[in-house]
Amino acid sequence: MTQATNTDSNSNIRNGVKVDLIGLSRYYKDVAALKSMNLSASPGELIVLLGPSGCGKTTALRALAGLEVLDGGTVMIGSKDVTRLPASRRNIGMVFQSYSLFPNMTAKANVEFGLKVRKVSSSERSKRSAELLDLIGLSPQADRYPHQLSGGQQQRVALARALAIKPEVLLLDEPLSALDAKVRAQLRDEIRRIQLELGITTFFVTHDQEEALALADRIAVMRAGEIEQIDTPLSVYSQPTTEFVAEFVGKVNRLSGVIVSQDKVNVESIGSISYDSKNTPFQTGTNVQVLVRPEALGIMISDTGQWRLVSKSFLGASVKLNLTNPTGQKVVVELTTGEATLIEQDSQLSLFGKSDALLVQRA
Amino acid sequence: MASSTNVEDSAQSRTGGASPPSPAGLRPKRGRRRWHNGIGTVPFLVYLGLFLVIPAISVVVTAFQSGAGTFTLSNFNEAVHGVYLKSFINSIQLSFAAAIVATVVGVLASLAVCASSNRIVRALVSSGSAVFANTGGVPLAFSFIATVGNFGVITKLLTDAGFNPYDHGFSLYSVLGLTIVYQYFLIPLMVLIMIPPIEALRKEWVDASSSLGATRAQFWRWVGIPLLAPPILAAFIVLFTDAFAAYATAEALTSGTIALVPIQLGALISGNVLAGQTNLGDALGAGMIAIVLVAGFLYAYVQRKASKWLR
Repeated sequence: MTQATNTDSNSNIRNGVKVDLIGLSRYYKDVAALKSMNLSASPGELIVLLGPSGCGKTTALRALAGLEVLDGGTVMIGSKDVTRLPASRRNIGMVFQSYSLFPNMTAKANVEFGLKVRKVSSSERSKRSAELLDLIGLSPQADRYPHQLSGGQQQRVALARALAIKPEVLLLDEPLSALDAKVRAQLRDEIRRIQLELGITTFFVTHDQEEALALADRIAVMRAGEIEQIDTPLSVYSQPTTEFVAEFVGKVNRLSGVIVSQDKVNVESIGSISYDSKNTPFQTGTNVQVLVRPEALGIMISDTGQWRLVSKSFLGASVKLNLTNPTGQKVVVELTTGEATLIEQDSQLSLFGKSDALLVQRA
Repeated sequence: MASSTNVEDSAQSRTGGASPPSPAGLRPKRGRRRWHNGIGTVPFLVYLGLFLVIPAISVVVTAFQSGAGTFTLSNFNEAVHGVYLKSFINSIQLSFAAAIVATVVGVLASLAVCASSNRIVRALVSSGSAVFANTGGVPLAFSFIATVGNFGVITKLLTDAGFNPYDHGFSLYSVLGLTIVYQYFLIPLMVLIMIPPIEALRKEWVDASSSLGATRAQFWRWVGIPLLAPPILAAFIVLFTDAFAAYATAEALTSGTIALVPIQLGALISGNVLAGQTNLGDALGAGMIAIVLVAGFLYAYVQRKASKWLR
């Protein structure tokens, strides 16, 4: 409360706190939504919980918020064990998927709600809401009701409302999923800007890998109530530790191959591709399955090439090409738009590995 | 490919991000489309005109006429004096009391039903309410007479136990009795009306208020009750008009011993009391129409507010 009433010019700037989720378990009848999940966030870090529907990411977020009763585990915010504290006493700001603004209140009144609950004076509330509406660029819309705001504006107000109470932790539960692509990208950048500006420890739940890669300091990829891998976006994308992570974050080609040397694998119809053998050493001659990103493959036009173009998808800066060969094998290759213009429908094509295979595993 | 993307971008920027306008040839012709859309309502409008609007106008017109067909205000003058004034007061008091009780009980019952996670309970309450809300008239009056009437089963049991409610001021054949009997169909009606708005209260609002530090009581004070107030008020108005216009139950139960507008009106129209007073009956009818119209406008106003918030 003291913090909430402090509205000096730097009042928005604060140091984030460390958050520890230790052995969180949650069961719905016999189905495990969370299986002894462990996760630590450093002060000011933005962690994205990424995974398919039903993987437990929202359950984990709600458990942290105090909106979900746990069957086991501990939630630590800073050095304080908040496991048994109700949501109303955790001082956590939360933004929901959509429609969470109170429809009977204006944008300003929504932002001031948490302060009103804390019995902050009317003048302090007005000052704080004005600051926050300014921060999210919605000062002119302060007196509008939620139904008079667009989806993106509503989510901005929801963010301002969550930040108004000067929470120690900010939780965002798929806040962009109901918005159209352009607004989604804009608001995503804005959330990151504000989060960095405030230095608040943040957890962001999404099933959108692009959103996760763009936003996160670290991504926790979840599957069936457990964290499959937690790492920086670059590492999760380029060094996935499991097949699930490789396939969920980004696109992959699944190919058959044989190990030909310590760091080379010979892939059927493509040729030699290098791989990082540090973690997964195989003996020469081992039959393996090779996961390769579409952009890790290159194309050459050659008279002896066996690959043919099936279709092209224009993605803006790049083009996705679907190729096939006489044995029915299919691969996806991603080239820059400039490179892709050279590939014609009747071109005879050869493939080669431009960079390391993503993952190599025993067939 | 690139050029088509540019075209789309520019169209979006012109229309502020909205979808680009459809080509002129494919654009629907608005006038014709509206005309077609409205055609389905014609039978209903004809029905309304024949059986509601024309009779209502006829009632109002004849209310201003004497038996000889000349203009007069004497029907209205008589309608607001003596037993007829008393019948308006009784009807308004009865409807108000019955609607208040049904509103309070009905809202609590609806909240309980919506809080239940048992689907069977919810389905049973919904379908049961639909049946009971449409039950009334002589069968309902008889069921109450048989249970809590002068010689009803429950009255007999209570009398045997040493407490005859009729010796302590209770009478089924009074305004209080009617208020109780009306609950039989008003409470289910309230439940039917209130379940949808209560279900429209989103879980996210409860969760958001909790995460912002609010207790459950604070949520209801600042969010839940303000959101439900317009639908509750709208439902109260519906209940009031329903009770105000109820005729058969009151007639069957009290045999006209309590002056109520519908009963007085019925007596005048059927010529039970004095022949040739149908114009006075029309004046009473016009009075009822006026009250129901006021209630209807209030309902529409409140409902418009409610629909903005809970959808």
